[in-house]
Amino acid sequence: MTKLNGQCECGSVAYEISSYADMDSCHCSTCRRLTSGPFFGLGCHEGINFTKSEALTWYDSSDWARRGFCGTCGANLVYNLKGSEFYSVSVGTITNLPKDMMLHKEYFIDQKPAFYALEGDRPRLTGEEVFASFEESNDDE
Amino acid sequence: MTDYTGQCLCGDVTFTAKGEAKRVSACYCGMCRTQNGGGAFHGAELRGELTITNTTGLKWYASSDKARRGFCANCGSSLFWQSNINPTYFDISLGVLDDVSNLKLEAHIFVDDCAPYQTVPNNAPHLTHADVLANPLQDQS
Repeated sequence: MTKLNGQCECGSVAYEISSYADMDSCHCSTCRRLTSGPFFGLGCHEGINFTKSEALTWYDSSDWARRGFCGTCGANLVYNLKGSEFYSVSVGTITNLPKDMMLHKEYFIDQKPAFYALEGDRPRLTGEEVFASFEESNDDE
Repeated sequence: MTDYTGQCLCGDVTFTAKGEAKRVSACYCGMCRTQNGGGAFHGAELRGELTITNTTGLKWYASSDKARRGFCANCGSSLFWQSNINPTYFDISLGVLDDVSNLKLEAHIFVDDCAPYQTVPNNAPHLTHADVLANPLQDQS
């Protein structure tokens, strides 16, 4: 697996990714308030390594998750499940994203507003289905 | 003239805008995608007056000689793009407007910068860099 690198717009925050899974998109109201539309995130289950983090700012967006952004330029960078090594990293900040990477799933489709839609065929899960799938994956552990 | 109101995710920035909607657009330029989770920046491009009613979290980033971008330094919400040349021309994130029920996407802009993991839908005209620069909204009266 090729190591991926990323950074915010101004370069004050930079990171490396050694291990990653799928790229998914989230339409939840929190993602959209932060980014004006859907968040495209690359799922990283084994953490990411911040190589520059002086401007990295965390915001507690729910009881279970926090969001990381650059306090200098405002770029939205990551979603992190609190207390875990799971990060969903904004693909807009990855500088060497493989060109053939396709969107795998869409989350919180029931919260998507009418003014946009992502083209293509893929599973589209409601919020209820997303939480149910988390429960299942927890049961597996 | 229409009044628009909105706020960031945490409420540390609130605003009102009075103006004429010039274009509701999705921008696929590289900077918008870096700042906004990899997808397009969905915004209402307005000509009018932007008034920040709670400035607590507001931070501006000089993203180029021509424009600046406003975000909340507490929660990281992307809020505004504003022209330096003519500050009465600004773009508000559709994610932070209180009411988007009457808004319809009217243009996809900078489509030649769209990432390979996304296709631009055909529900509105496609404008390239050259098209956008040939018809600058900020010079319209």
